[in-house]
Amino acid sequence: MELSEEQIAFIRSDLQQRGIVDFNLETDLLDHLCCMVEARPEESFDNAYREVLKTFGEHEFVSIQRETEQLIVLTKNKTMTTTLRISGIGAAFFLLVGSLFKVLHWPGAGASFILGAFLLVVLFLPITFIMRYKTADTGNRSMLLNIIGAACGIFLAGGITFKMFHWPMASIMYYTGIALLLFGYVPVYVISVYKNSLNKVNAFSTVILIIAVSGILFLANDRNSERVSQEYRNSLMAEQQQAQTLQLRVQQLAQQDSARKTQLEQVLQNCALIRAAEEKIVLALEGTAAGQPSIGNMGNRSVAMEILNGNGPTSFTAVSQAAAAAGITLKQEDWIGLPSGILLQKMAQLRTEMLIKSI
Amino acid sequence: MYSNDLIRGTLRTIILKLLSEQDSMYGYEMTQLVRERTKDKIVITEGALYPLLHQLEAEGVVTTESVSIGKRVRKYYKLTKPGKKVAREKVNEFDEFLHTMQILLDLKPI
Repeated sequence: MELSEEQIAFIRSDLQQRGIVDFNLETDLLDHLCCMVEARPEESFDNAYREVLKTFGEHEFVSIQRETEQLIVLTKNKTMTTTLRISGIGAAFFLLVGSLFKVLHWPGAGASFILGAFLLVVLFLPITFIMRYKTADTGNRSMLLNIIGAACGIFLAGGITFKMFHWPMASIMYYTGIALLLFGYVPVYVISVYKNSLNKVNAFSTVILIIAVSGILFLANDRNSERVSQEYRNSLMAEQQQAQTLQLRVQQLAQQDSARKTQLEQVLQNCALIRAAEEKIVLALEGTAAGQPSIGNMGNRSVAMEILNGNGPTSFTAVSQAAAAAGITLKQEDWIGLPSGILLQKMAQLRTEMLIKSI
Repeated sequence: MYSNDLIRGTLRTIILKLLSEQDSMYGYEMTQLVRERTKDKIVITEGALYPLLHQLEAEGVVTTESVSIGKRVRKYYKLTKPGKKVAREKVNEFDEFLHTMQILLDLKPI
């Protein structure tokens, strides 16, 4: 039995109704179905076609099409897949090494970190997005999910990198990333994936993980910068009272002896110099200095050290010279690696000590 | 009929071998020939066959030729020149694999 034109047209439109849009595949499947129907010459067309369809599952045709598309995307984009793998491994490696070096204060931390972030933001995330877009199967929601996911990654990675280099807008980028994750990604994920997912436990744990991670990310940025400057402010209050009493005493002494007056004025000047360095660190920590972002956990160990390691009147050299003038020897290695808060307290203590010594 | 897991890993080899024997074939023909030869022990599903054929085409292992059959179009699949080499390699690889499995599972030679 050879199928008539109408019967072939019927099967074709049935295939299209079942979601087959790939013309190449449609040709294959149409011929295949026709052959199968023709192999049942003793039955009527309707019966034969119904029987043939029974050997296929409900969504069989669409899933054949989807699998075909996915295989072809993977085949045609071998370069893309390779780039994805290499950039992914590279990004993870350089980000880890960068963070490790940063904590250990080894050279090359910044370069490694920025290379990792570059690979992540410029190659890995966009390619992931494109690949997912090409192999996406459930319409608009999963598209939206991919867009939000990629944007989250770009904002977070960018924010952390900017923070490390104390560039402006770091916090805004960082918080935008977290907000997108919590209020964009999670709801869309819940609606689209969780509802359709066969493995609900898996989807559930993913949601919990995302929420937990965004919580940690939020805390990581926030807590330390706040706490450090608050602790310092508390100790500064106590220290300042003492310092005022001492300054008064120094001035009284100075009025009696003009040679001593010059000497003591020098000490006061040196104290003011250290105080200015502290102020600079506090401003950097709180992000109120012009163009200075607030420094969170990412950089707070180093923000004081970076300022002290710089040049000019706020450098460690200037501070230790000021201390030496009052007869106090500072060892730089004692200060290296300390968190900003502790360094600030040390500097405040140093001023008090200088004043006491000079009386 | 063997389990899908067993067939899935060998489908590519089966198709390439068929095409290297037959010059050109269409999808339905392949499924029927495999059924015939294996006495229905291996049944290739459409869901596995067509994605693979399209992938092989994208890889440049096979080419297609469309021929009008009555009122419809039939696509014949044919090995390309590099495809023939791939087919030989695949079959050889499987042959070695069979020998290894024989030794490993302590089976009697066929």
